[in-house]
Amino acid sequence: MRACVTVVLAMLLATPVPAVQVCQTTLANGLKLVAVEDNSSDLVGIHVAIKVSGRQEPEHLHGVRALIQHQISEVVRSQIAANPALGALDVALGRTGAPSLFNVEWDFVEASVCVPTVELPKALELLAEALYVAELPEEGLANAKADMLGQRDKATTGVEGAYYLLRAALLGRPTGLETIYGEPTTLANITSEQLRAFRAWHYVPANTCLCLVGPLSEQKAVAAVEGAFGALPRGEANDWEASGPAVPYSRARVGSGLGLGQAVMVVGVAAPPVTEPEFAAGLVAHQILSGPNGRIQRDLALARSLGLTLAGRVPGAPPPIDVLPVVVEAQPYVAIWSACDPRRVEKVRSRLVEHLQAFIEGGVSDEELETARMRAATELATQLHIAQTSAALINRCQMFGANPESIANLPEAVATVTEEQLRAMATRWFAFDYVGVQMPE
Amino acid sequence: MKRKVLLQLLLVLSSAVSARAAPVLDPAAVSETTLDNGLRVIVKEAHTWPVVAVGVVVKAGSLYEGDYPAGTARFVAHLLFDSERGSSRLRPALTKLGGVVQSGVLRDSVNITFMAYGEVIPESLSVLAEGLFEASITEEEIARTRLELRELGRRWYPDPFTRLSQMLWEMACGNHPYANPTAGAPEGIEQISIGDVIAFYERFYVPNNVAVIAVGDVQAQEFFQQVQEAFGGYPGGDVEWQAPSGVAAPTEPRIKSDRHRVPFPFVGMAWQAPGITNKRDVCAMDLVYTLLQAGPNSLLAQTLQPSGDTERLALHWQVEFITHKQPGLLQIMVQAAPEKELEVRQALLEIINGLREQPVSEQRLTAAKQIVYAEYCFHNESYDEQLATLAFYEAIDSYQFALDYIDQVNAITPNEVQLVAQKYLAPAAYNLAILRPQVSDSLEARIR
Repeated sequence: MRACVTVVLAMLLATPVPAVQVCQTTLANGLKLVAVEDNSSDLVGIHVAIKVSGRQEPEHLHGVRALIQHQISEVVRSQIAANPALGALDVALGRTGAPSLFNVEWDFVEASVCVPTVELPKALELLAEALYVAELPEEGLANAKADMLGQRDKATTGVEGAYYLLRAALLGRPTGLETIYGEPTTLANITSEQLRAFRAWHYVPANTCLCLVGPLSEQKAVAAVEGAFGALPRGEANDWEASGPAVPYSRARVGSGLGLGQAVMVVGVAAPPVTEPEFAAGLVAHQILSGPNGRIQRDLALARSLGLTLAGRVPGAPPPIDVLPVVVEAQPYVAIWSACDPRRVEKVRSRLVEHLQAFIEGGVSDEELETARMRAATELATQLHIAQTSAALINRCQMFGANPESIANLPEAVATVTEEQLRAMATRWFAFDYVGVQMPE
Repeated sequence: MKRKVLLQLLLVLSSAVSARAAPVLDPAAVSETTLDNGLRVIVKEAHTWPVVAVGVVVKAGSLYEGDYPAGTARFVAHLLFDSERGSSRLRPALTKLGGVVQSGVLRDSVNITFMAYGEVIPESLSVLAEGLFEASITEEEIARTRLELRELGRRWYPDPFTRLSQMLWEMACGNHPYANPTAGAPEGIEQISIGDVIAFYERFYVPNNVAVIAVGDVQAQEFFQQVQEAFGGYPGGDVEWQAPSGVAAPTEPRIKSDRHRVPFPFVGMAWQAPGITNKRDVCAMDLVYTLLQAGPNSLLAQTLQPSGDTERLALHWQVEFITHKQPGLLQIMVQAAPEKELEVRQALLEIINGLREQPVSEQRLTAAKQIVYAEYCFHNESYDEQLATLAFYEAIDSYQFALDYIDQVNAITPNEVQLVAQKYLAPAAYNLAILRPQVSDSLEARIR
């Protein structure tokens, strides 16, 4: 069952050998583990992903995963407060921020933390207990619902509504299923019993992927995870299926936001998922557009369309436009966020689409490509060399079907993307545009 | 077939390597050299991922500006490291190479760090060397830098803890340069002349006052050679710096209050704390710092925000102790709960007296050491953070302290914690700063 592979990044006979050891295994209870040995610090990044998506929430339980994650956060917080021996773990969680330790995405739920190696057994035990076993506090449910409603309000009527609308446009999601927080009526009716039953069904090792990155040999990593998760009952694997692909036509979704002074718009195109060889080219395209020297902020016509020349703008402040990072997810996208005068929305949209689709025509200068390649390779290698972000990145790759070993080769792949590869990628992926706009009420 | 054998051999070798524990900053991975011109070069190799943090640290923080207007250190660092249009064009040139640039000004040093994919590191060294040692400083650039700093100062309104901390430094250090804000004083910025800037630059930005440090996927010998090529041609200078005389601890409490945009009073207390020359005391004081504020069971949490029915005295707090080249400060800063200012002051003194009067329990000290270790791990999580640690200690003493630090902390006994509290945290030798809400003059009179 266990396959351990050493991926050699550079010439095998060069000294010292830069090698990434990736160990993949599956525990008897079905939990999938990837362990990456990295001796450059004494921290272990832990990422746990449970494959339970919004599609698995029945209509009357929409938002139940967010409620469960909220309750699990409370369990962890109270266990640490009650146990002084977990003080060093408190530092780790305090740094992560207990509420953000657990996160809900449309396709999965996750826990992400980094701890000193010596604290690893305690941290894994705490996570295993909180995710699968601990009684969820009955008395906290009303607070959790109130919190979810607040977050839902922000997500549907605030600035971030535009992101949800973009994703809904990209993936063809129907109205009411844009966010992960559920509707007020369904949230109000979810009971503790339903919460527990949903968790018992889906939050099981058979649906779990776990990644450790740190100074651990394969044997130590497997033993640590076995020790904390090995005795958990397997459970039934669910019928998980990731979102996507993007709908094969251009699409826009429009919402309205309370208290917004300007329209908030996200304009994007689909990007190749990590399982595609063109993924690296998608990262380079993002870098050509982004940053202070990227095409978007250098475009004076766009700045005029946004009204950036108007008096009153704070000198030196970043312009109200930026390119969003490309994330490893089922259907990634390259997208640009902007805040603009509602009357200029169409002008800005068409200019942004021009920028995105310009890659289909090529025309990237050598200097532009070289800087973008190095920026993309730096960003990726920087994420990979930090235990926590590395574990999250590699585990997401595992979950979405990419070979975790292949991630080791990504920085080099990014650093050598050619203009032809960039154009081929754009021709295949950038043809349709997707827009999410939140207009002021 | 040959490839399979090689793969198996690599597996055996790598499992032998992984049998040892990985120290936070492994001394076996660190190498150093000094060029003929006095420039120090330190490398920590880490080859898992193809990324390198390379940085330059210059012993030219505010400690060194005693002969110049307050803020000169920041002025020069901003001109060289932060300006997008300055003659050195360091930042734009590095950014163009595709990496991430960060810079900082501390009390003892200034630094610039470049984090990038390994391939571009040799080129970045030439850019750094030219930017550092070949800057031509003109009146036009001085005027532009002054404008930029003025604009930054205009937009910067310190949070209450930052304001309180600066008040405490000013009270504790008087005329010592440590009293100068590292961000530069507005009045200082106006006084700095081109003569000051050039004199400071030419005096301190010389190879024998600089260290080049790299952490990541580089090989030490190769890197030394690259640094020699980029930096070796610049001559060393005569730094001629006389350390300012130390600051005496107060014999009775010094008290100062001010008004700020705060809903409730902020209370800050500061005692003189050990400098790097007294490393044992530094380690013991780090444990005092940890006992005071780390975790839900810290001394401050237990006293200021007790669980159960006891009324809480404070809403938030911060403790600061940063090791400096010369003795610095231990600062405890608290946002008091409504009408609890006096009780907070009293509680802080009682906590400090408790540390002076009896040693902490072994159990508590062990827990504090675990927290210090966890904090140390997190402060050295990434290559640029590891570089920052090596640079920080190299600027005030030697990077070696960063490598030994945890062993030295672990050797501290409960008695030593008590002794360091008795030595530095004397009952009357503190500075007290208070920020109270802005109120009308009549209310102010009534409060008095």
